[in-house]
Amino acid sequence: MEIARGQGSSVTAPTVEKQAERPHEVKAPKLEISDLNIYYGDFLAVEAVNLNVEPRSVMALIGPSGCGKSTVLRALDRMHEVTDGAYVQGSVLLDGHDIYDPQVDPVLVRRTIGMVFQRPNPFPTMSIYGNVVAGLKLGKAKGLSKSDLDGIVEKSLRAANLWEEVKDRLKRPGASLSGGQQQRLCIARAIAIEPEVLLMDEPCSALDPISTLAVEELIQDLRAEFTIVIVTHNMQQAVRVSDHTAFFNIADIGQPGHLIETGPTKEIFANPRDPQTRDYVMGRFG
Amino acid sequence: MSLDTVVNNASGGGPGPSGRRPAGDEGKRGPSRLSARVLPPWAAAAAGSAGLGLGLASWASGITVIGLAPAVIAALSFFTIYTIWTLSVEGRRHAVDRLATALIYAAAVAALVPLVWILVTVLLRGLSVMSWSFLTETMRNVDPRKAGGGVFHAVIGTLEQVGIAALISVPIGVLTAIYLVEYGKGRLAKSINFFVDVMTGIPSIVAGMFIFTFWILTLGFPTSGFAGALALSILMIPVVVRSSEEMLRIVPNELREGALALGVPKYTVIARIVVPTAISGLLTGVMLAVARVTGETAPLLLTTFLAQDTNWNPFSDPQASLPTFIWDQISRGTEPALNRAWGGALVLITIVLIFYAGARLLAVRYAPKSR
Amino acid sequence: MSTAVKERQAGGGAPQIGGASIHPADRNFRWLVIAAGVTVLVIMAAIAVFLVVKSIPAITTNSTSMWATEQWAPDSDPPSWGIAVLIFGTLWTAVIAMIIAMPIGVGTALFISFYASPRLSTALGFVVDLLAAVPSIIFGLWGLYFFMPQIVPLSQWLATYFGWIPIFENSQDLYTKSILIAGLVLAIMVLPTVSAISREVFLQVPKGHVESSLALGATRWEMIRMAVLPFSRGGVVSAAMLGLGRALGETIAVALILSAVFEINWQITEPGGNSIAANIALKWGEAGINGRSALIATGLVLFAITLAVNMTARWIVDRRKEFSGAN
Repeated sequence: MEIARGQGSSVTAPTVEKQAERPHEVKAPKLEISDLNIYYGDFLAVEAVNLNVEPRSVMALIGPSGCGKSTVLRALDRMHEVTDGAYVQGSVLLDGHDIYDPQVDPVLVRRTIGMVFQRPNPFPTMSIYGNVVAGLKLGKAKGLSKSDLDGIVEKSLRAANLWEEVKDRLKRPGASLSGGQQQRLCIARAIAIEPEVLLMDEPCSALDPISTLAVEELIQDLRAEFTIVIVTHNMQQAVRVSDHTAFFNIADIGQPGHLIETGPTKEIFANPRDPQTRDYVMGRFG
Repeated sequence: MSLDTVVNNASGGGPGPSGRRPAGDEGKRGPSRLSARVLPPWAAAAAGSAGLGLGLASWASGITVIGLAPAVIAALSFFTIYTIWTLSVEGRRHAVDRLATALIYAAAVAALVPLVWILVTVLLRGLSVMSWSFLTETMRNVDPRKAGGGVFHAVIGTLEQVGIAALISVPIGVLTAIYLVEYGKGRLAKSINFFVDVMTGIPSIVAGMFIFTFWILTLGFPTSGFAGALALSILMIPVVVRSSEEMLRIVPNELREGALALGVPKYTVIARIVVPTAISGLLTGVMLAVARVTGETAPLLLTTFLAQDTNWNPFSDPQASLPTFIWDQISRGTEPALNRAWGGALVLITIVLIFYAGARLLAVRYAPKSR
Repeated sequence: MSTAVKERQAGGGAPQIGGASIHPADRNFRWLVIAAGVTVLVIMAAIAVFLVVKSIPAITTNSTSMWATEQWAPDSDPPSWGIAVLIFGTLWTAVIAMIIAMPIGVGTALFISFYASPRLSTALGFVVDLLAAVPSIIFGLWGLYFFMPQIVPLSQWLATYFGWIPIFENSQDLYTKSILIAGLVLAIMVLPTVSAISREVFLQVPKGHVESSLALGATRWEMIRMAVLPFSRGGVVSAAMLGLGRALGETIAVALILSAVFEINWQITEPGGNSIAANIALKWGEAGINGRSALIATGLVLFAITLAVNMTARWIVDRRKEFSGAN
């Protein structure tokens, strides 16, 4: 069990401690976030995050709005750098390699760590087929024949639980699908380039309940192959979908967000250790 | 609602152009306070006919009021009658509303009249001189005081000059717009932004003067269609920048992020996602810029001069163009020359309208597909 | 193993989405677009510098005051020329044009936005915008041969019945090629600009304003006065300024219509008057070296005036943006 890190705690637990806490699974973490501070210009948005994500699991990031959970997520594939003046201190290790190392190409980071956004955003100038292979084609997939591509399209759309619905209209525009289908198309697009980690930023908040269910089922299926980190403001969704949960909180507007507690989802919701966590999961604020 | 109200509403006729019956209009209280006296729906037509009648009377009898033409008398009578009638029936607020409505309708008509008038004039006068030979001959060896000759040399010149101007302006304009939208922060971007604004306001003749003194006098290049194209580019670049900028900004940021999240470098995002999404808008902007620049006369007068025969080479020697052709013919002052000017005007406006209408059609039909 | 704590500034200086230093193609593309932007700067600098330099000879050798002289003889010995007549003509025709174009342009925009059915408003909008596509030389041609004969009676009427107002007085009994006619043609040319920008401004009036005023029981005109016009004031003013900018710079139509008499003439129905742009167009061909230099000087003055007008328009628009909270 991870030690809950309260506010103001500057103790950095050594690596040994993390492994000792899980005697039954000695799995090297897929992602190790260490002492991560995220700045927007002069403003410290998130402070001192230490978090490990196990491979082939789903980690949910929860917390009230403004607590920094999306900020943390975007720092995991260096998407926060899109904003002018945003930078980090600390490190994020993917299988032991720091993605923030100066030698590292952020473009390659993003091919390895994929992201799905809150609002579905299929490329309007491309067909469904085109959208799925966009990541491959834009990165100049060399040596892939048409049948290779066809195979990848089918595989990705099946993995996204969308194949049956669109297999007869692959050439239709990507924007011609319903909202839920568009989101699954975006997921198919993201997994077509075979990332190792999939980040999802509130992927269902723009969808209707039925589409939400479809995407949640999809996440369960994807867990077998990918490591998934999902930000959600819906606690029931976190319970349904994730193996581990990390709870973030913010003391006040203008203060940085902090990781308060993290652990297996069941325990976070049934038996939270930190009083802030308890208040949040019981719905006392949020 | 009482039965009285229902009956009153039913018999009062439809509401006037303001479309509303305000609750509790001045002085009308009582069980039917929701109803109000309303002008009958044929009121406008009646007032119009009355006005027309007065106008005709004035015309037939020759009696005028301070020298006003009968048509004006008719219009003024209509306004006056209509307003006073409303005033007595519906009250002050509605009278003001109807008067405003009438005036606004009149403004719309006034805006329409000149365009129709111009187009019809150009069409009729231009057609009278239009023929196959007019389109295929030049003014070579044609006595300007006599009929004959054609616009071929001018058409070629215009097409070449505008074409070269587009070749110069579109890359510079679109790339600058990409810089301002996708990269532009900081002092360089701010100053480029400012100077694009400045460039938008350059009077066309100043652009012509600049190219003449700089390109032709100082650098020593010859008078040519190319010089004219350079002057046109100065006018065209800021237009392309601004319209392209607008189109690029419309592309939602989510698309850029979605592409980046796939692990794709920035220039690919721009070239393969952003620009294709905006392409129809970009094309529309370019076509509108072309339409605008095709009709420019002043800068060409100073840089390409005039020519009477076809000059296929845009890089040396004066070259004709449709606007300068029209100018030239007007300045001759004879009737045949004037007819040729109208013919040239018809050809010019046709070309301009093709680009203009084409741009609007493109904008409507090729918005990013969502069906 | 985790590396030591590092600071990393994303995109240092100019904004880049991290890692631009790693992809050479990214860097090349960035230089390409910067080069395009810099070209714009270079062109503007060249124009400014060059024209200023070229206008200095005429300014310095002018034997009389450039601002007050009311004649044009830069190629005579000694050279004497002045811009007073030209500035007057430019401004006077433009003012008349705006007085007419504003009510009609704004009225048309109101009609399209609030009175016409959707189909009619699209059609009418298209048609009015089409007016903007007509080249100015065609305006000049039509204005001279078709429009002017129709306006002459109007001018006569104005002079006869309203001649007691100084600007309508006509002492020559000549009504052609007057500032009134040039102003009217300019008004028609500027109308689409005013109308299009006003339409855009009216579109931005929040529907909530419109609906709540109607819900209070306002007539349509009252709704416009209550909800639309106060909100749109700044935008309409900037539409006016942009229209004014175009009227000031118009060359060919004015050159064809005005009679190019070099004098200051307040009487709008009388022939005569000259604008800066028209003067350049008409005198350039025969001008000598000093004459050209003087014309360039006047061109720069015109440029400065239109620049001031356009900048004011932009400043008004920017100020409004702060209020309306547009992002």
